[in-house]
Amino acid sequence: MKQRLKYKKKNKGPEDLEITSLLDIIVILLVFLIQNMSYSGAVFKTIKEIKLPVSRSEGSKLEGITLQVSAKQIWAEEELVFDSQGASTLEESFKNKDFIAPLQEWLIKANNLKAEVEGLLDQTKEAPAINIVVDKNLPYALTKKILATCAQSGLYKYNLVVDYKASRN
Amino acid sequence: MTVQSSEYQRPSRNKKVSKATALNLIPILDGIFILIFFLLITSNFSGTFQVESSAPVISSTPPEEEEKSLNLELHLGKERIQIFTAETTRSLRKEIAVSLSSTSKEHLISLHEALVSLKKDFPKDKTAILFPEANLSTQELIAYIDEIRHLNPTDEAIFYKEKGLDQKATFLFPNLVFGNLQ
Repeated sequence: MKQRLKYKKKNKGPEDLEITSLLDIIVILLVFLIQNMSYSGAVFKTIKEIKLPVSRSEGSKLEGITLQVSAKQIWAEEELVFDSQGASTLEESFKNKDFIAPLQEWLIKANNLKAEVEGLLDQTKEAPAINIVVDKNLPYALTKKILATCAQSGLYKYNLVVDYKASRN
Repeated sequence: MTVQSSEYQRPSRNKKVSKATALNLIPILDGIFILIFFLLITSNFSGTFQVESSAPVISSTPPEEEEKSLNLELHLGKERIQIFTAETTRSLRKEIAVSLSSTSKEHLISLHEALVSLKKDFPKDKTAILFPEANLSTQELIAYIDEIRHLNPTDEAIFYKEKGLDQKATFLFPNLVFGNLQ
């Protein structure tokens, strides 16, 4: 009996790893990732403080300048245009003003530069729309000032950037 | 007794027993793992989209002769919504009270229903001028805009004639203009 056990132990080869269950999980994960991969919709690098509003709108032709507005900061493209340092917010900083002067300055500069480059190529081209990423909790009073500043700088078309959700909010 | 036949092969003790060979899954697994990492890195789970709108522009050129227009004006507030139209003279069409409960969507449904009935009368009209109140949050504004722009799948189909053909309206009032910027 002892000998037989010894023989069994000796002849036992390296055990095969059971990978069927692992493969099952991987295939499920793969299907999930492929299904969730979105080819439509733009990818934005939004700043941490901004929570996008939810909407049923689906258009994703996001071209042109992108503005990001949080409670305390304004970013144009990837440049910090205004920071209401300390405890104050943007709303308090521009309480009695119709426009946001630092933003207007930036937009005019960017517009002039763009016009210089594009004007040589195509003078009939319409001004591009401006993409505005606004935090969902900010009041319209501030959004209004941003929109008015854009209009003053010659940008009349806006795209309010949102997170897509199919059903009614 | 032996069977003499050229086709018959005598069973041999030396014959190897063919073992079922296991499929080598390692290269497949390698490929799948690389694919998973690629998908994890490239996928974006929150696609951002847009809501188009524009500012009013003063033009010196006279507008083209068009059919009778609705000239829809919407005053959007935290407490009430007012719908004005100006086919001939500007008049208040409907006033909707906004419920105090933040979860209630009744005012949104009422706004949508009122706009659908207006769209039935003016199916070609696409523009709405918005006058949101200053204290309205961006999320509330976007919720209003959704109701103004989109037709729901449950809404009655709206048709209009264009170049002699029946066209189905796919949007309610997709062109939005912010009227109170200055």
